[in-house]
Amino acid sequence: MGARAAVIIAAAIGVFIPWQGDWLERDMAQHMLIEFPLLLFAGAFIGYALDERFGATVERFNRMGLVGFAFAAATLSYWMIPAALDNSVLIGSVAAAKYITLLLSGALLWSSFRLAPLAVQAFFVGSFVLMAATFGCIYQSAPQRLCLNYLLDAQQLAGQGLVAAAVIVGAAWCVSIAGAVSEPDAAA
Amino acid sequence: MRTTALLLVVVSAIATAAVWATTGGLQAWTLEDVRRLRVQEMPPVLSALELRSSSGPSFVPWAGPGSARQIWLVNFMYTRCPTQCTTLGVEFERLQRALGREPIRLLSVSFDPLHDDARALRAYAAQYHADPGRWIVAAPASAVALARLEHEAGVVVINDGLGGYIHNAAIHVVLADGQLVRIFDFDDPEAALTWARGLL
Repeated sequence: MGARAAVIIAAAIGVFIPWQGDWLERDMAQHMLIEFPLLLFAGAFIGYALDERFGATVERFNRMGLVGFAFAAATLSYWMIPAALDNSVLIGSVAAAKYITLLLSGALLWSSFRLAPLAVQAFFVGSFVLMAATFGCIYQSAPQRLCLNYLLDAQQLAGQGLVAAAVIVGAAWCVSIAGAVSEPDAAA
Repeated sequence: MRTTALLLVVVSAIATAAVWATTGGLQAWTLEDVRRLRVQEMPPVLSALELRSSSGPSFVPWAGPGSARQIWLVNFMYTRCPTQCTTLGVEFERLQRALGREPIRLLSVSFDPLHDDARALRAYAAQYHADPGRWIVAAPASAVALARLEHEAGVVVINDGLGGYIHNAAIHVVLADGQLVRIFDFDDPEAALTWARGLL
């Protein structure tokens, strides 16, 4: 895929989210399980498109993908906090911060997965899986609403979705590295 | 590698600061708990608010020129509400009996003024035997006033998908000058009353 195609996809998502933001954020499950991944993917496409030009610069500050993984882990955990999610619905500047940090996370993740050794990737993916599953269990089992902007059944659905996302991300990463780890060791 | 290490420190510091600010120093994880904490630490002042009561005349409970010097225990409701507000109504009915001659009054504010006209408010007041001398059932005089009150008090009302509303029900202690000083669970009005009496 060319850089231009990546920019077009990112721009399409960039138009879709503000256009359909009210609908996306009306439901907690849609907010966390559709809008968040869309922003991350848009960011990743931007990262891909900018790679040729700025790849070397990014690599200099994102050694072994550490900064990108740390930023993405912090961003994703932050927006799973009920109070943070509520604020992003109620306060425009917080919503802007959410869009920017998730886009940037996507862009940095693109770079980090390329640069990081498998052990670093495993640490990041593992911590994400654990975190999403934990928040998912909390959202599923809480007897009362944790977000003022969302109904209890949407919260439970979001919880189930977060657990599913944790499983899917973990499994997808394992599949993606299966080739690399099953290759015979050249040194052996 | 030094730039990477430095950036890692910066990212961690910003993330910690953001979580700290959002959760009131790691004390509250939901916005409702944060709201209650903030009210205790730095009571917001509610603007003067014109209400139309079930008994007819409009009035300004706090912060207005004619506001009487008293403490208000305020809840938010809508008269059609089949769930939380029923509990709120029953609890306030019980609470008004416990009120003596002290300057503490109950106030139920409807956030559905379009439907809750004077007649609906009167019916609600009658249903729970509200004594107008102790418990006023009212609605904001305008949509603007309602939006401002909700914003200042941190009340969030959402559609329940069934034609009704869901909201963060609670009992708000408001002083005569409009200061919102404490928020209590809606099903624990005795705690609110005991605390308000301590202010006298």
